[in-house]
This record gives sequence, C-alpha cells and structure tokens, in this order.
Amino acid sequence: MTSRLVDDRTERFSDLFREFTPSVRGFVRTMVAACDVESVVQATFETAWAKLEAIPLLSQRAWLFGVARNHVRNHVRAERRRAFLVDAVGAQRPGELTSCPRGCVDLVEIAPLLAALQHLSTEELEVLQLVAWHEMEPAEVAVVLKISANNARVRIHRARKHLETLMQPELGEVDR
Amino acid sequence: MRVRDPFEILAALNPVPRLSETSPQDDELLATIIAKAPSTTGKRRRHLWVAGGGAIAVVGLAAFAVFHQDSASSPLQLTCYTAAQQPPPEQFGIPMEGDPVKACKQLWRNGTIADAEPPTLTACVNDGGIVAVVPGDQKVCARLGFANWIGALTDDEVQMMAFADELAATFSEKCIIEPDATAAAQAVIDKYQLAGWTIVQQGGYTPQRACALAGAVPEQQLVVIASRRGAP
Repeated sequence: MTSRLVDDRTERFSDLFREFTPSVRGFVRTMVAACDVESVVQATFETAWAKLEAIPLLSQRAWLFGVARNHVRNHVRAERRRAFLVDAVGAQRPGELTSCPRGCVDLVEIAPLLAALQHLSTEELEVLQLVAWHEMEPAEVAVVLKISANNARVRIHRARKHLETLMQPELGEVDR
Repeated sequence: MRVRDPFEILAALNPVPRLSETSPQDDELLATIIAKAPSTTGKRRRHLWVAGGGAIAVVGLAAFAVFHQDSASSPLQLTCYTAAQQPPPEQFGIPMEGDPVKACKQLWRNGTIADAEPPTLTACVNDGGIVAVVPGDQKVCARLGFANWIGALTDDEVQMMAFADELAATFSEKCIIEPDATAAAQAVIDKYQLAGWTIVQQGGYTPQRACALAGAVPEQQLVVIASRRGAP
C-alpha cells in the first residue's frame, strides 16, 4: 500500500513536471540570465517534489511561478530582475511577430512603452507581466505573490494606471 | 490621436511563447529530481525531506527509498510529524542520529516546523515501519494506530548509519567520476567490513553531470550509484 502511494506521488509529480516545465521556463527566462535559467527551473521543481501535497490543484502553475519567483529573488537583486523584464520586451521586435493574437505592434509604439517600463517598479512590472503575458487572473497573481486576491486586484489596477500615466505624454488619450 | 491601451501593447509584445519550450534534457531533469531527496539541509550530508500524507522515506536517491509495512522499524529514518494525525498535514524526515524526540524538538525550535518551544513529543513506529515523532503524550501512538518506539539503536544499526553517511559524504565532498565510482564505493564497503553487498551503477552521466553520487539500501545490501551535476 505504501509503495502504491509512492508510485502515485511520482506519477502526479511527473505529470506536473511535463505539463508546466515549459511555462515555468518561460517565466524564469524573463527574470534571469540565460545561463541561470535551468538551475532555477530545477530548484523550482525540487521544491514542488518536496511539497507536492501542498500544491493547490486549481492553481498549480501560479504556485510554481511563486516558487520560481522566490528562488529568483534569493539570487537576483530587484533592479536586475526589472532590467531583465524590460529587456524581454525590448527583445521582442515587431519583425519577430509573425502572428499577432493580441494585435500586432507598430515600431512607434515600442519605444515609448520601453521608456515607460523603465519607470515602473519591479513589483509593478511583475504584476503586469503575470497578467499581460501569462494571462493570469487576480486570484492566480495572488498565489504567485502570496498576497490576497483583493490586494492583487489593487496592485494590477495601480500598475496599469501607472503605465498609462507614464505613456500619456507620449501617446495622448488612451483608447479603451 | 487615439492609440491602444499600453497594457495591450505590452500584451502583444509577449515574449513568453517563444521562451516557453521543452528541453531535450527535461526527461533527465525529471529523473534527477525524483531520484533526489526532496530537500537537503545541514552541514555535511544531513538529508531532510518533507512530505504530506503517506509515510515516505528517502535516504538520498529514490532507489534508496525502502518501505516495510511489516517491519518493526527502519532504523536509518526518522520523521517528525507536525500534528497528531495520520497522515499528518506535513512531516519532516531526517536521518536517525540518537534520540529521535530530541532531534525533532530541534526542528520545532529552529523554525523548520515552528519558531516556538515544541509541545510534548512522543516517538512512535508508524505503519511504514519508520520512527515517527508525534506531538502528544505516550498515548498518542496507540491513538494513531502506531506502536510506541522503544529502545536505542543496536550496534549494527549504528554501524550501518555510519556507513551510509560516509558513503554519501565520500561522493558529495568531491567529484568522483564514473570510472572511479565503483572502486570508491567498494572502498567504503571494505572499510566497514560488509559482506555480500552489490554495487549498481545507474548511469546518466553527461558533461554537465560528470560526477557520481551514492547511497545505501541496507535492507537489500545494495549501493546505488548515479550521476549528479558537476564536473571534475
């Protein structure tokens, strides 16, 4: 009976690993240098292996992102993490956008956005990244950041407002 | 001029899809993680594992996990329950090194389980044959369907613990490459004058994982050697 428990545990972890390794890797790649990505991914899943029973079934990806973020925070200073996030946007040139599910971006839109991102805090960038790139709901953002869902909603709202404000002088009225 | 919401521009510039990919090494990484104890702490080779639910014992490699429902005890393992429940909400596994209650008390005090003085703790033998230290008095073992743990370790058990520890330390303190691994393990076996032991090489060596690690399965008189991250 005990052996079967272990088999089930291993199987559950294997499924989790196979399903979420790509998204965790994508998340980590926006926060650390390429040479550090795999060690963070490994550390994240080692934590998941150790705490498998604590992972909420309905927000596994968010839980893994939270663990990955913690591992990154232990090794990369906030300022450096912010730089990586902005670089990740800057590296995404319009010419690379072969398909545009969220709308294609004109070159003239990128420069002011990059300039605005430079003025956001690391926390604001993290929140925007989770919502804009990983399409997370506030409840999932809350799991990643280990805050309440209400607090997550407030942070998302404030970060979006701050970004809009920073871009107002450049772009004028925002179309909703 | 009417322009898009900057958040939408940010979303459209999403770099994550091209960064989210599988790696040819993923299968190996999965095997490595499963083969390792869930976490490690302490100075030398002091394995701490954490689990919720069923009794799970890990010494250092998955191959070393030994389960004996019928066995009276697994002398190398000790688990500290965080609550008097079976299964507990969380449990912390450490090697058996002397007084199990004292060892678990340390986890309650040092912040691993809590930052406070521990409650009364009692050593039981759980249904996995592992010594489990549970919050509660002497009656708690029976309440959970466990036996009370009695007695100190035998000389053989003490020797086996020392062997397992030295074996792991030999392989973790320096990079032993694959061609030398069997001889290194045999040297430790010989030092402890153990007869009838078998050494198994699991392989998996790559340039990034050129070093070996080893662990003992006393119940099967087995030493398992696998690759670990590192280079000579």
